[in-house]
Amino acid sequence: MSAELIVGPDTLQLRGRLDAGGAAAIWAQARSAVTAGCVVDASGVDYCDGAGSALLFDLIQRGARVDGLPERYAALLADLNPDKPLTVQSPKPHGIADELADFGKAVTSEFTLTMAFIGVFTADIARIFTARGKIRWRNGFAVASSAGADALPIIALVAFLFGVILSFQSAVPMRQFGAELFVADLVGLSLVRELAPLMTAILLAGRTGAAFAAELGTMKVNEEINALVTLGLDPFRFLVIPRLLAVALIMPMLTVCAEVIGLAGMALVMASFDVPLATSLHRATAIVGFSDFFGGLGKSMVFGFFIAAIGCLRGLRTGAGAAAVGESTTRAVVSSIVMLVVVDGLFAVMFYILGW
Amino acid sequence: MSIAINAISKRFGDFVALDNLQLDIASGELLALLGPSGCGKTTLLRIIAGLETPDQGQILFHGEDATDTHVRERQVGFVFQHYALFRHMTVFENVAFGLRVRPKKTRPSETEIKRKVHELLSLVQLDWLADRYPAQLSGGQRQRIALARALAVEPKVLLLDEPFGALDTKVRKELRRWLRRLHDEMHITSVFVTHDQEEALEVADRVVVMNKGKIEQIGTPEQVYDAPATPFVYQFLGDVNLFHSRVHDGWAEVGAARFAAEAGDSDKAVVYVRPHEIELSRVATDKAIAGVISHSRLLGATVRLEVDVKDAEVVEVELTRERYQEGGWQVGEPVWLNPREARVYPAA
Ligand SMILES: Nc1ncnc2c1ncn2[C@@H]1O[C@H](COP(=O)(O)OP(=O)(O)OP(=O)(O)O)[C@@H](O)[C@H]1O
Ligand SMILES: [Mg+2]
Repeated sequence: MSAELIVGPDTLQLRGRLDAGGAAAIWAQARSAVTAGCVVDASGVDYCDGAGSALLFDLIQRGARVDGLPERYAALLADLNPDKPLTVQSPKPHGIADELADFGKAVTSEFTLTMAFIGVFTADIARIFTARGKIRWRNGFAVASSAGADALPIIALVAFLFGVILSFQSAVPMRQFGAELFVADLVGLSLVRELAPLMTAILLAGRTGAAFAAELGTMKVNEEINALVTLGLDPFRFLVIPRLLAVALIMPMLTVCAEVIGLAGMALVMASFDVPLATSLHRATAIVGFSDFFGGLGKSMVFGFFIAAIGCLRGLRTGAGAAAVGESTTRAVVSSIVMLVVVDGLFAVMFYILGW
Repeated sequence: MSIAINAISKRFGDFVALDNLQLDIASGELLALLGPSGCGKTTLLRIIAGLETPDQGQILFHGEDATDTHVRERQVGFVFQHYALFRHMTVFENVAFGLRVRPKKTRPSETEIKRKVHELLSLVQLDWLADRYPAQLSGGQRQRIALARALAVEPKVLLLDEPFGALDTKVRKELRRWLRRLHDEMHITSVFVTHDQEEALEVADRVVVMNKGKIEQIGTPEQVYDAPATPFVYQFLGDVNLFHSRVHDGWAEVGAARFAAEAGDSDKAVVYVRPHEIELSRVATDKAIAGVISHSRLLGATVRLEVDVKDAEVVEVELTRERYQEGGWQVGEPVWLNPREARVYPAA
């Protein structure tokens, strides 16, 4: 059925299919028949596409009024309303200042979010210690043992490498001054104060933080979190707190492991420079004081909190769909590392002021 | 427990997902929420459960305002559209979970939990799967485990989101009968979401037909099928042919056929006729619509003919296979259509 035009007094009746072929066939005739104020009865139209609406638009512009166009096609015409000129919105030019502003906003919102989360967490911790027994210690231990044990090999490997590289790189120039003995002091202090906690934290952010984000994100996407809630559980207490405590617990332990293995690597290199094992280890342990050791451990504990908090937060805030899980995971790692740098800087300032 | 939904609205940004809904659910009722995809069924169910907060309106549980009650205190059982079983737990642990995590005072003993879980698993006929993990189950089995998990905590209200959505027709049929029987045994106030009209009509005590965030009609399956309140309901509850016409003297005319219409004179009207409510004949009667058979398709026990009619889109006619063969209808043959039943709605 193609288009058909019936011309009456002050009315034009359109019927059939107003597609490219149909509209073209009757266009010239319709144009010549149309008068200002005449009514176009389109109730017999049973198909109308862009070409058809162009015809109707043309007739409207010549002063006709279209009547009875089936509702599903009326929408096509509505956008061609001559009273409402067609506008094309071009995107605002995006200068460097806007980019910077966007970045700044993103960073601040991220920061407030994490802080709010940590605030809630602290409040909850306080509640646990007052109204005991609500926390799933068993979950926490399971997370701790698996996350800790799984991360140990890679941490050991990297720590060993750190010890070896650091001591070798510093031993070569120091030797020229006959000062290779002091390499033990240098490596021992930097490992214990800075490198071991930071390296362990970064590795844990990549491994455990990402795993938390993925785990909780998958649970979120699969509505397992909602299922938990309808069964009367608080996902924060059930999923987040055990993880936070677990990571805060294993971080210092892993840091100690990293320190020991890093020092072993150092001792090995020193042995190759003819410094006896006992001497280098003795020097290293003698220079590291109580405050250095426990300052490092305290720091690593705080790092652990942040890593777990950001991983869980990202996981719980996962959007819909499997792709969202990947995104949360990546963001968890990136935000954790940025956060580690910031927090480490704060610690450095604090230790400096305290004179440690 | 009875539920009253009082002028509930919900928007996502500018998009109105639920528009001023009013609905009363009687205690012990099995209610179906029926509607096309995206009409807000899940959103309504989540608001009832408390997983989503309404922008306006109230939810009353047993006459008491529960709008601000936390999900954890509402005691609802929720079966999610995609099951949401805990992947790292066995089937047994999944079902037992809701009981295990209760505070010590109300937690049943271990033997009691065991007894209860096995009772539920045999209720859903999956006792033999207790030690498997969700990943090792078929879709229908997961669905039933999800139901058992929701039932374990003895909810006051059971909410099911497209419980049989992902299943094939045969399993669906089996499971919906089973759900009906289960409901008859336990009498928990239940709301289930579906976009399958057959499922809603077969299982539910009452059906709520929704469209674009609004309720179109509430009624028993008979009421909504036999007396659809709006053209949308009519169209949604089965296939339908439409004819556009104008009303003259209280009659809408389609070809030579006339249908009583309530619309005023010369108003436009739409006549709806279901495919199986059309008789075919070779003899012209004065109230029939002329057309030509353009297609015939065999659909199991029925035959669906497409008839080209002047002034209308293609009209579908459904015949039983016997009648089709008795009639000896051929493609290309001119026929007369006699609608037995029709509904006339004023054109929008
Ligand atoms: N979190 C959200 N943000 C924005 N829009 C949403 C959100 N959730 C739902 N919507 C929108 O609300 C509408 C109703 O969604 P809902 O999930 O209730 O549909 P439904 O009736 O359950 O559909 P289906 O049968 O496909 O499951 C949809 O158009 C959807 O796009
Ligand atoms: Mg849904």
